[in-house]
Amino acid sequence: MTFKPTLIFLKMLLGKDFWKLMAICLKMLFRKSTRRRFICLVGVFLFTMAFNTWGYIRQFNESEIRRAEVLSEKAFQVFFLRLRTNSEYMRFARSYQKALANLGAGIIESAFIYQNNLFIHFGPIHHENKDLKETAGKKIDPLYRIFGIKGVVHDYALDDGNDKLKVKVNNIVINHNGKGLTREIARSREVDLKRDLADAADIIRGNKSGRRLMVFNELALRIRETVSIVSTESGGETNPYVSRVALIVPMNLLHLLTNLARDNTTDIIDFSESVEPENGSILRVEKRYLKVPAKDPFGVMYGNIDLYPRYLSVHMPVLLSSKWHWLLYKGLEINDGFMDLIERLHFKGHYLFSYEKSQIIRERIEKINTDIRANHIHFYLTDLLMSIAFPFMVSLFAFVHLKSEFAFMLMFKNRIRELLAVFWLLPLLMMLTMKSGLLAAQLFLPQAVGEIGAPDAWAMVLPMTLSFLAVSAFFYPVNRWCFSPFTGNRLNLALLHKGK
Amino acid sequence: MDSRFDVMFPLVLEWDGLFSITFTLKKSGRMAFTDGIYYLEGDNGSGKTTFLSLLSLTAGIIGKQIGKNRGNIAFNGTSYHGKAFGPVRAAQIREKYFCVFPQKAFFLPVSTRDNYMILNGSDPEKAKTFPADQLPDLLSGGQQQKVLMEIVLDEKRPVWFLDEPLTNLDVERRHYFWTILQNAFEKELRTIFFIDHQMRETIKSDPDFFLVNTLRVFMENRLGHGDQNIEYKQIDLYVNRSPKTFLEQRIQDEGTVRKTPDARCLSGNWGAAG
Repeated sequence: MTFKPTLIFLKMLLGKDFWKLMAICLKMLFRKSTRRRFICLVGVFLFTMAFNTWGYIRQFNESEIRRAEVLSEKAFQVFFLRLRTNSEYMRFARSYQKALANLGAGIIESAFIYQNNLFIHFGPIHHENKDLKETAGKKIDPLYRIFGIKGVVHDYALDDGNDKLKVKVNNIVINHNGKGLTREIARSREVDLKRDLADAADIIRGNKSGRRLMVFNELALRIRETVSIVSTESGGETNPYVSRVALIVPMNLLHLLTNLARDNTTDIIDFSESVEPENGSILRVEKRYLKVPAKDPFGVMYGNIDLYPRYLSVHMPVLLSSKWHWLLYKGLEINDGFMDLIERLHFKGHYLFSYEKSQIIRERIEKINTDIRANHIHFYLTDLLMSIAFPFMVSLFAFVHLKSEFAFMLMFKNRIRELLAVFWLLPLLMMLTMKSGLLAAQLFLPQAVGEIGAPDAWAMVLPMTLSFLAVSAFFYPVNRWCFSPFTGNRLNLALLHKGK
Repeated sequence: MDSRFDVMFPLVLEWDGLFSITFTLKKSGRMAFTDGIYYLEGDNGSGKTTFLSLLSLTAGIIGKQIGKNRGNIAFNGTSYHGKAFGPVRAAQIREKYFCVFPQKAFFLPVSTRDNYMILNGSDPEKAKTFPADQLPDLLSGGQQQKVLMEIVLDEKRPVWFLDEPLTNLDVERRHYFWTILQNAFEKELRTIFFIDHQMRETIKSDPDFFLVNTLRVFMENRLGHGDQNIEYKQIDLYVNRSPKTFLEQRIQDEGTVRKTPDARCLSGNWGAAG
């Protein structure tokens, strides 16, 4: 449409004559002889359209909620890969660290799973370099959120401020999954954990000997025996993707043992008093013993300690993202490069801790994308079909019942453009009102209509607008065709006005 | 405002090759219709209304797709078969220049005021004289004719096509009709095309009307039904170039007739008096 016809069209819409004609047309359609039939036609039209549109909105809402859930699923940002030996870890680190970094992923240095227990650093990450500190914090934060321990980890060290040398430590281990276990199994878990800690202490102490060895063993025993197993802070449901994790063990226990083992300077008496149990699970330790020891060259903590096979945690912050489709909806996009790498690693023996996770992610994404696409295609097809078919019927109804009147009117007045515009605009206005009403109900009153509003509900405005514009464009020639006896080159107003 | 029709004959009206009406002219192959009253005289079914429909752009093929030897009509130099001529242009011409008074009174199924607003609407003050709650379909035939006359006959338009306008009208309204015509001629009205069977003798005896030409109308039904013989009928075209005297005479005659009835007849007690 060029500028001039558009201007003429707009001028016509703003003119009084147009709206007067529309009112007269409605009066004629609502005359007694056609009233019921016209009301039935419009009623069926609006009901069917509303039913279809509401179906689309509900499905959109549901898909969007599922999409948002997947996007915010923290378990899809962390993958635990199995490494059998120390040397295998070294090889893995050499081969894949760069590849992971290129894909936007990275190894979380302060956490790993050993014997179904997650060893993870509690408390703030201490780095001299501020940037490194922030990066490390960002990497480990998703793990805290998955396991619901964000509050607990920051309360691990209880600094009372009066003692400059010592600090109280809440020596707890979190029972992540196992609320309903029998007492025997729970006891067995505790025994196994303490044995693992004893093994770790043995590995960490190295070739210590003599009295310092005895004191170290005594301190390690104190640490182990005061460990108390507590339930998670949230007490809520366990994330199913990490439900195999039994206990969450502060990696700080390993820091403590390492710092104790490396301390050769302290007097033996002072050394023996450096770790003292207080009430319950509280330990009073030297502040310096809580320092994070130096990492391995490849950035992982305790990679050289033989706590194998273990699962290394890999953080992938942008595995899933939203992507606009040309049909004007947002679908999910998966980082295929990363998922392919994970699958390749899986088949090379680096099994995932939840081995089915990669398949689950792909299937869920595919299903959500399929549902979103199917909903939109269904909406476009049905909406276009109905939005053209019903207005076509309205125009045809108007032509059949009012052709004499229109023919008569056109004998005297040049109202062809107005007539076409009236019956083009009338169904469009009905549709617009109905659709806007439903959309407004969903967007502004989601609770009132019994729906949980999708976080990105406004995105549905675009497909609905596109469909409406397409309908407006397609219906224009259809409507013109309905009134072709008035708009063609073969005139017969004289016969038409006689009802022939 | 000019009002000149130039018509080239033979003028053919054809529908899907199934039915055709061909108008030919007795004298010459072209004819111009200018100012004055044109009276069309012919038998029923001779094609008078069709010819007026062709002139008034309410029937026929318009635009450039007309074939050779199919005739042509031009109004004020604008050909009905010109390149840019289409239904919108036709409607513009009808709205600006023509008044088409149909053979049978017809209204939109809304009030007479709405009818005026949609069909004419040129004078908002006049619109108020039409009742907003009166459906014209409920009026009698004569009343409808009168209301329609008031709605559609617009003295600002130069060409009127009047197809039996006097049918159903009583003496008083016929007088009113001729008065409208006279007033309109004093304003913008220039040309009238007029069909009325009852006026035949009056027109023929009027010295101001003269036979200007005769149309021969050939009708061909190609459907294969009925009479296959192509027959023709004739329409005589009379013209009165200066209709002032004629109109004054009509007004005077109808006025005389109007005054004739006994006053008692109007008082409602004529039965007793009789």
